[in-house]
Amino acid sequence: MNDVTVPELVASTLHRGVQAAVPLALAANGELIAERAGLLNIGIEGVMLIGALGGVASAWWTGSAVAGLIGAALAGALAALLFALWTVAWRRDQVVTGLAINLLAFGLTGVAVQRLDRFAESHGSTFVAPPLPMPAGIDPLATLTLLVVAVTHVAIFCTRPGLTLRAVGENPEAADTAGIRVALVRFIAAAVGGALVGLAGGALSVGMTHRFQEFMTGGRGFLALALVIFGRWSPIGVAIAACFFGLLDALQVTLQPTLGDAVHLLYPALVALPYVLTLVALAGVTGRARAPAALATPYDPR
Amino acid sequence: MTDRPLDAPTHADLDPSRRASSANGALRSLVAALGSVAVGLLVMLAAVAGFGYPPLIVARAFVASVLGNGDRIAAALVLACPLAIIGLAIAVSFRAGVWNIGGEGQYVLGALAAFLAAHAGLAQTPVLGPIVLLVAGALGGAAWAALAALLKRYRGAPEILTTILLNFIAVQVVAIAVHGPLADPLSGDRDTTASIPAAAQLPQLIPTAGLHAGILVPIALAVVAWIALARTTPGFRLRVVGDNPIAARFVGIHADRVAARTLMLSGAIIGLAGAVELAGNTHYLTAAYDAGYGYTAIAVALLARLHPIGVLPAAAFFAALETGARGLQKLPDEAFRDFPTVLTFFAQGTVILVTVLLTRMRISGATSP
Amino acid sequence: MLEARRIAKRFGPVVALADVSVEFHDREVHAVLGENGAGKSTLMNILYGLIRPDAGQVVLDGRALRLRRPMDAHAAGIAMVHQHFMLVEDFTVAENLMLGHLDVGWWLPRSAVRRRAREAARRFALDVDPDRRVEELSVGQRQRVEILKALLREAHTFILDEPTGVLSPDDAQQLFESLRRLRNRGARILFISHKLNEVMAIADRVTVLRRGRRIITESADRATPESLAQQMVGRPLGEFVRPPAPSSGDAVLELRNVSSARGHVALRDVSLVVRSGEIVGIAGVDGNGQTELARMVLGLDRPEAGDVRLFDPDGGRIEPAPRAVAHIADDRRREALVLNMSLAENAVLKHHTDATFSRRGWLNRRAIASHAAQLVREFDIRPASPFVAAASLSGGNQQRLVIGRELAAGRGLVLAVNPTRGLDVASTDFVHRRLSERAANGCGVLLISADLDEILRLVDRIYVIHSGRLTESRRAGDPARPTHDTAEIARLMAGLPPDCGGRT
Repeated sequence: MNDVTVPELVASTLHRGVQAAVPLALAANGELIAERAGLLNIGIEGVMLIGALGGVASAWWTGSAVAGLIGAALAGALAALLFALWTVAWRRDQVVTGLAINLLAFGLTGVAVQRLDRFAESHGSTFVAPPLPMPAGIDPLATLTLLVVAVTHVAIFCTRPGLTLRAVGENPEAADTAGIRVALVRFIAAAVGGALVGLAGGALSVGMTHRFQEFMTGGRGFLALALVIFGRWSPIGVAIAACFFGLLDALQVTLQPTLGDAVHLLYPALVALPYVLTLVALAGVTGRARAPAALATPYDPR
Repeated sequence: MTDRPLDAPTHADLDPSRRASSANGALRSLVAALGSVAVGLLVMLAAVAGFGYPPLIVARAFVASVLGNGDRIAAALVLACPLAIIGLAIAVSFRAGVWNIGGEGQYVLGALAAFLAAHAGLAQTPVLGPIVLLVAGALGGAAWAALAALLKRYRGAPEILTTILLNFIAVQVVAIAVHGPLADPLSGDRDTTASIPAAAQLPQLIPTAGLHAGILVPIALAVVAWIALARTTPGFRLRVVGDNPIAARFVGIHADRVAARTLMLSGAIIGLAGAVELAGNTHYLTAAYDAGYGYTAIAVALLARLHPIGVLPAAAFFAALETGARGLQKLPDEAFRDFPTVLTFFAQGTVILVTVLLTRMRISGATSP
Repeated sequence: MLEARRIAKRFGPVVALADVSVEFHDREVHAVLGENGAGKSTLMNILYGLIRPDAGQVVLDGRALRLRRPMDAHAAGIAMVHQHFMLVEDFTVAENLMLGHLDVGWWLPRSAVRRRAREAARRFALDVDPDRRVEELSVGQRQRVEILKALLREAHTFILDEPTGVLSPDDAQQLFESLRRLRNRGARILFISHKLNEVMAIADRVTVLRRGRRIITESADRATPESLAQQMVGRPLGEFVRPPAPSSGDAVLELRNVSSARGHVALRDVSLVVRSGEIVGIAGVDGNGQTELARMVLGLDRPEAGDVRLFDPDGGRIEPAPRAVAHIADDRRREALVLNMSLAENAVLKHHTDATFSRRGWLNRRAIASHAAQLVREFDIRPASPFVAAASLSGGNQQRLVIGRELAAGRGLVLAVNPTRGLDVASTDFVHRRLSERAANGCGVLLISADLDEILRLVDRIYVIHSGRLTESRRAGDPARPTHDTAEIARLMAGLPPDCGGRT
């Protein structure tokens, strides 16, 4: 505490804030895409976990962190397609299916990482991802996230596929009679959204800790669900909300040393802080934000 | 694993889902539940095989570790107790179209409230002591759920999100309490509390196996809930609100009020589970007191197809799965020393997926966040 | 020429269409007439690719079409304007117009769409601002958007499913004008309706369907409303008309200068009286404050200004509340029934706390079942079992159940909102007789309906609602048999002053 200057502290906090915001922004944007098509995926926490594991696994296997991120996205897309299979193809309850996917993912990743650890060990290596390359000191994940947010925003509001996506989430029947294949759009939205959520998991594991731990997402998926509401279903809005929560997270880390002996007692309070603030924000915002009209309702063409 | 086993076929049984084709419908529910369990187990065995364990040996060892002796069965029942109570509470709330995903939070807060009652010296007499604890636990759980209910009613915040967020907060509240004011001075790392006084503990039915009297609570509650839903006016209103909240308003039922009360009732029952577990099984709190029961209980409620009586066998099934997995680790065979019990979550997810697939279960009500 | 050749379709045991052949020419408005269930919607849905026929084919200019999805119909230049508009409310008109044109690249062609919309609007009298959000548009404007959608898709065949059902008389006139212009430019228009006078006004040729069979296709000048009606129903028409019975009884409902900005439409200074023994009608195009008014009377919303007074049969004032009003809801599946519950449980939905049906919180299941059995007998509900789920009843039987439940209590005020929407002739007649009976027994009935004919047949006094304002239309003419001035009511429904310069 003594030998760090205030500007340094601010800079490190900001840096850490951006790092923490990246997975939140990616996950929330992925969920946003699905919700814009009318899919409410409570299982996003699990999809993120699967992405995180898939990321480390493919990074470890290929020895490339970039391949790890791609693997994370693919794993997330696959998990989200399972959700779409149940909710779109078979029109099952979205919330129940989402809850099931969370449980499924907790279990699957928990066992898998244990076995993969063992497997890597038996081959004389450890189950970790190599660090991401940092060309010219630019954080590749933060840049990628900015790009994703910008592209998603433009795509949703200014392009024909975006219009189609929004129509499916607002009034699938009208979209259907206009010749749009509602189920196909929802499958694609689930997969693309799931890829971003998986990437968010990859950002957490491959990008930050380089390894996978059980339940390592720690509720970030659920926070992302709330962020979509705060951002009012707009990618830029969601990204701003994610930055706010990222900074909060960083501030908490920065403040920890100042607590001294009280840290033992107050640390849980700091951990709970983002959730408390999310609750407060939900109480303030919900009434004024309007969700896609067909959110969480299955579409049954006659 | 029938979900409507005690269906009394009276001439005035009004619920069409039971009445219309009572034999046919009940059979189909039973087949669906058994099918879900069977498919869930098969998928789990496949996963076990996929992860490099010999599936047949696991299956045999598994059955042996669950049914091997009375103590094992008792252990499964002890675990089934909180799962059944919480599953029942979740089933009731889902029946009202209320998404209470906050089982975890309400459970630990119920335990905390019960512990505080004991800590404050309110539970020093034998018979009365456990009762005080149970009441305190129910109040604690209800109070925690009330936060979500209030946010929903006055601020429109979706309970499906708020109850989840409150889980994360509740766990930390307990951690703060245990690290701070409630820490046992004798425990060096300040991570546990002292035990509640013996007078506040629930009596043991089979002391050697840890089977405590709390096991009677879910059975009694299930019967009460079943009768209340089918035969009382509040139960009737709860079902109306769950099936069509708009029509409820148009016939003069305050749907918002019913939903808020159901959420608090559900919280109270879950808090009760926390108290039962504290008074009957754990006896003290730890800084990380959450055990994932709140999430597992959702699987219990769904496998039971939200029927109060069905919750009992469903809870027993998931408890057996868990104790079976734990039992495998204790086997002399070296290969199972690190058998991953987390696999049971995987089985829960699979069972839910198969259940919704087989029964077209849909929980209506006002879902949208 | 578009031909339906020997089309047949059954839904389970129900024959929707049996061997129906019709020719639709270019440059004609072809009306398809029929009762509910006559098969007209099924036929149109087949032409539009929403339903596949069991037998027969659709032939366009000598070429058989493979219509498996609406996209196939679009490709053949066939467009449909649905009864429930297929518009995304949250989108602007232009965004709705761009939806589903898959052939025009990645970016949204906003300016091109705007230009073409303006052009079509001028040419076909389809005036609507492309930049406004559909949410803000009136029903008539929304319909114009639907027609614009079809035009921009370069449709040649336009199928309109009961297009005037929701329109004010003025909007209907404007629609007819647009349709005539379209026809004169060569379009083929299929016009589904059960309203004879408008069919006579707009159609060149008429096809009548009855119970899935084509009865006749003839030129409109050769048909008369009477002949068509007889062919539709299969017997001479004898609709129930209630003789006026003006009442000087006590008020059962009184609204005094009620205003409220809650809901979609603000109610503005609404005053209204319903006396016991009379039926009061509120006419108006949907979405002009009817829903808000009904919620106010039911006590679901409270007025921001003014007073809603409800009186029990003895003249005592009671609080507006759902249980104080017999309410025949607009959308019975949504507002009146719990579809997963049994007929018996639905029968006591409102009064389950009455001493007959429950005591100290315990339901008296025997009493509930026998009450339901009585309703089933009295209101001829089928299937006649109290234990079937409400979802398995047909629309008419669901409405009988609701009416039985609501009217059984015999309260002071009956509030009926579009009580016969979607019902067949027999059920409609049943509902009308029951309402009339309640008024004769001393209830006050407030009938809110978008169907002006229904109101004219049943009521003693008429109010017209437009943009949340209520205007009373008084009977006039021969003092012995005063009648309502329908032209004046039409003007009020369109939001015009009751008398504009002596023109009718």
